[in-house]
Amino acid sequence: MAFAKRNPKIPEGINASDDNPLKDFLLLLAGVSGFVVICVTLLVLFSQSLAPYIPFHYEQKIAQFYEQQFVETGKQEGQAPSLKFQEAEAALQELGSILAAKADLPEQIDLQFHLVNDADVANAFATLGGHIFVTTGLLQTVSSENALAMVVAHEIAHVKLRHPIQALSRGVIVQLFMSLVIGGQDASAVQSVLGQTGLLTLLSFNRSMEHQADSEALDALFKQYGHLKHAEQFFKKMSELGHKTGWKEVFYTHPDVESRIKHIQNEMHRHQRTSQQVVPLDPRLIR
Amino acid sequence: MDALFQVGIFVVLLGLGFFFGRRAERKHYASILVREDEMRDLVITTDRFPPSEFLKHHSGMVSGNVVISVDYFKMVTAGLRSLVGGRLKAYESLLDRARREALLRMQDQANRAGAEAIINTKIETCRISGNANKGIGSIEVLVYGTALIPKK
Repeated sequence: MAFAKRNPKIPEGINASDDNPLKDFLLLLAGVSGFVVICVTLLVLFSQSLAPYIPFHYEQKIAQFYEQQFVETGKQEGQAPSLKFQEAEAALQELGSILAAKADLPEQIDLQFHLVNDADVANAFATLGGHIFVTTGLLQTVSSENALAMVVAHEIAHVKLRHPIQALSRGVIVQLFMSLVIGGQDASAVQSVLGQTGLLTLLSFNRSMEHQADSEALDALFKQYGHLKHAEQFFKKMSELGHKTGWKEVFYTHPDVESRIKHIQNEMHRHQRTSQQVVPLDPRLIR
Repeated sequence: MDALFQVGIFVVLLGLGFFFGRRAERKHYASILVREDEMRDLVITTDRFPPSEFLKHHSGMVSGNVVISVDYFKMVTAGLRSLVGGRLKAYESLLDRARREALLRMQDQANRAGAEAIINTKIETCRISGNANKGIGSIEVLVYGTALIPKK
């Protein structure tokens, strides 16, 4: 066998292809993201329809993780709550109990009401384990007990309809799936997922949830007061504020304010009564 | 907002990776083709023993090595590919470039030593940073052989 005189010229394209890598990438991206979207949609549907069957005491156990956080949310940092604040919280708890009685809550659910010392933000939210938060800013916004009751009843309805646990299940299962796909194989990923989605305000409810909660709240309100006057007050104020300042925060947690006001007003017309006595706000709640 | 920011960073990195990675690859291939033609007379074989006409030559070891980094675009493409399987074309071209470049460097060294041929060529590869914290990996190719240098 003779020794070669020259190195042979090897044809291109045997070991590496000259295809445009962008084509390969886009095809892969479309395929994988399509698959992920389908899976996530299915998981969200599953988790939302199954979550209400999670026993409430499990939810309370999950909520214990965040209880410390709840307590700190309520109080101003490094300060013992003032007497006035404690009284207001007690009054809120009383109002909440009255409304809860009208809301046909399942037996296992019990509610805890917390006042949040934040005068700048008018907001209320319900979260895991039947904890309901109302900011002091909200107390300044409402002019009667009826208006406050509407907001509180709305949050009670969220708990009754098990919306917080649905939102948590949705968040956890989607994140879990994503970490499976992306490849975070360690267990700490799951924990950090729980840590993130458990953050109170990250539990976001969708429009139909808000709508359901409104309907339930109006029912409870009608049972309690016999009319629906001032039910739309808070939302109207929020809507005005939103128009004036472009205030985003309320619209994140309570989207679609306009259509909800309409819904409430329709209900008000349906339940029109001659006597519409508005109950004044408990003096302890006046800020 | 936060998510948007992250997506933005991702897209920018992807774009940079694609643009610069592709440009580097084009340039590299162009240079490889030119230099391969230049070195065509310096024969590389994998024969273990020198042929009869080279028996009086000196011998000496020559080697060439190359490290090429994976760009972000290739990494993401490969990541997606690893979900569904198939040829990792993005990495194949890297290995191809690295092997040919390493051979060229070995030829260059042999050429400077005045060699006429290289026998007993071996090729090895390994990953330097591929396993480190899932960072962007790189490919290393090492080739070595025995250069046959005529006596003066």
